[in-house]
Amino acid sequence: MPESRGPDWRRFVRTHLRLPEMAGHREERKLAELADHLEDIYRDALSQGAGEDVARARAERQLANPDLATRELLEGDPSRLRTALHRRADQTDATLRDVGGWWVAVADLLRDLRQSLRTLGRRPASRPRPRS
Amino acid sequence: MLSADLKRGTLELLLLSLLEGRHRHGYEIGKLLEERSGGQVQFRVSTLYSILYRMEHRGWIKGRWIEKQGERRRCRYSLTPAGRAVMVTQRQEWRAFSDMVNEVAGVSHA
Repeated sequence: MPESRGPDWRRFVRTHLRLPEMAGHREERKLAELADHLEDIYRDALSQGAGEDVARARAERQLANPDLATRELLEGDPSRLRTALHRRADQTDATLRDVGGWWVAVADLLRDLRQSLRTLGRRPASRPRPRS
Repeated sequence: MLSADLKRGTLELLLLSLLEGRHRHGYEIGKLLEERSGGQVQFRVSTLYSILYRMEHRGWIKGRWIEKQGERRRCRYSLTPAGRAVMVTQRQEWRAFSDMVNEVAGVSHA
């Protein structure tokens, strides 16, 4: 396998993209894929005769707008967004239960609501019946 | 450069077609699109992967880490049976649409 002696693109991607909601192996996959992509741009530029600074700039320009890039990547992976929402809901649930008292009842209510929404989401869409 | 709306409506078909018959990694896909479109279709890296992830989420393509001799390990995408069916349908729709536009706009008679 060819060794790369260029910039550490994985580190570059990790420090430029804000991906706090993308925990787990999928985050690692995204980081690796994006880093590979930037590495390819960098290497291609070098092979076309560009200097190291130009090649690096060409690759770095891909993430010139980190907020936009993060948003696009999150939108492209709805399963991650759903997990992030679940994580937020779990945090709220834990906080309410820590407070105790009536808030536990509120937490129970919210949990029931989440369960109902989840069940509704799994049901196939109902179709209007044609009138005879 | 093509308009954003026109590109958005055809990107999925273009990406699916590039994966027909072989698996490719993201950079290869982006580069092929750029080359074959004569530079008309270019992506930021985040745009390209957001589309690939969305198509994978829908079950149209599948990404797998594959190591080829002499190359580093890469995540390569391939068409799933569902993706192939979508591609066939989208091709038919595109053909019908372009025929209709040609007919109405008089492109074929110009």
